[in-house]
Amino acid sequence: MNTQDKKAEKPFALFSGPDAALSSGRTGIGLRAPHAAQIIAGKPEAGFLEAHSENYFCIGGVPFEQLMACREDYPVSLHGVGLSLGAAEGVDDAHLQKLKALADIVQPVLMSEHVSWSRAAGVAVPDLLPLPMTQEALAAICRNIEHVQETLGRAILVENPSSYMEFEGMEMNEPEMIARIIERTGCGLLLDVNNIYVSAHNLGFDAKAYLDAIPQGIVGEIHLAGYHVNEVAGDDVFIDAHNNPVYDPVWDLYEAALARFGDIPTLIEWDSDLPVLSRLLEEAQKADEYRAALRKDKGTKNARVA
Amino acid sequence: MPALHKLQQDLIRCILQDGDAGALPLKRKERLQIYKNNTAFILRDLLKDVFPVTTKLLGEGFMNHAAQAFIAHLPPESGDMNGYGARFADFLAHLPALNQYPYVPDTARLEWLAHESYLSPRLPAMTAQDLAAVKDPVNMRLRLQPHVQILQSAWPVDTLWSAIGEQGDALKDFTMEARDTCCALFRDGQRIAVWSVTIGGYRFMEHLQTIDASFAFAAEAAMAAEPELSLDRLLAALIQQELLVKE
Repeated sequence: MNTQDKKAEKPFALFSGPDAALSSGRTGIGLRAPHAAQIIAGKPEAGFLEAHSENYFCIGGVPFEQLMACREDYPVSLHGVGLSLGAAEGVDDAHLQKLKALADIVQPVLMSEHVSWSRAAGVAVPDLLPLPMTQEALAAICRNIEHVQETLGRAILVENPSSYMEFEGMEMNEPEMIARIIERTGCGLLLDVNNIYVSAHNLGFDAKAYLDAIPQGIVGEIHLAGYHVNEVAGDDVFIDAHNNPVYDPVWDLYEAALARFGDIPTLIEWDSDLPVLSRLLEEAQKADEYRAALRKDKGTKNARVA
Repeated sequence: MPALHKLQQDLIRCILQDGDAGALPLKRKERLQIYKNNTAFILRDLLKDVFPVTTKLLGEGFMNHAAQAFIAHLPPESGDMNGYGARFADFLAHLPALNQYPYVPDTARLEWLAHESYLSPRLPAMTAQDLAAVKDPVNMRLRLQPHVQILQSAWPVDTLWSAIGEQGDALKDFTMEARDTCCALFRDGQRIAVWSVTIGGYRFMEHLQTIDASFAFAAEAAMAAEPELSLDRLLAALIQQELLVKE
């Protein structure tokens, strides 16, 4: 079945490219509680704000009021961290209904979740656990994504994971798994460049080859973040801690991603050891410069062709 | 490779209960510790964020120990962590090490109610004009704002909470002596206010919240607990602090 056939069957639009509301070329920032009042009062320049969905599930509470105030001035993206898309037992429908209630009010420009899982046997962890790259896991996550998209009435983006270890008996690699998820469900990809860099180091694959294996036309958003280095059993392991500025090798990989996928809406994630807002905005401006350079370069090439 | 469901059950139990990864089909099994640490630190910090005064009372070391034991005993059941910690106060009440600090569980109860209040909506409030316009006051029905939370304790935990606050260090100057205490917590804009009330005021709000919205029955319960209570003054305070919902 091709994508056109699937589009005809669904009561909502499948992913077809980055959202036009994010085409300003300005990079977004994650909305974090310590910055909320300053953002609402000062309205600093940022392309969009991305909120962790679960932090705003309590409709009418203080965090929700802050999100709605931000929504007056910025496009808002909802990025979930607890839905557990890769769970064999399916997603938690109570959780999904809370997400839908929030989305119905906020009307976000983007909604995204992760290629991971975090809930099984009636318990949950506040982390993003790796999925085995198997046909069974592929079927489970596709089933869950379709259920989520049908419930929400919209296509979502799914984010490639950061990994510290892998399973025995893999049946495909991660880019293959992601390409198949997107082909089967019609969702888009949230390409986390830092996650690729972190996983490539930790698992020993080539980050650039990973990028080249991702099909063009499926990326709806890019994430950038800083990582942290931990020593585990004598090895340096890169931890996706979102507690540092974006490191140079990740900027290099971002440049390669832009060259491959085009000027994609980009977000800086910084969650721990949170800097002052102006420092976070500086990091977003740096991403703007990469994107502007790409547009300029493409303009020059187009002029040469003409 | 075991079936996905079994693999996920085994792995999540191993992470939450610090189990042995020996049988799991993982390469570099020692790195499972990263996920164990992430989960432990995130949940512990979440509890410390919700219970900052309790953390100060217990000290960082004991709070870390109590949080770790709580997480192992009652792990989260949902990816929505807003409700995680609801049973922490009851858990503390059963720790033998805290027997000589009986006010600690109630301090944690108060902090949980403050957390719930923070996450609750403010609805349009009843005004003094609205109240004056009620034609049949005896049979009127009143509804407390969803962000109003009430607590009764044998200890002045409201005073303790206010004294220590978010960054204060008044603990060393605070002497805890048993005293029957009733209080209400509510949203004052984006902060949480605490209001010390009498037993009559407590019973009035308790009745409205848990039994029936009838003013007459709530007033009867309040007067039975505190015959000298001024209902006019209580109603005026509820209206002035915008704690009643406009119907």
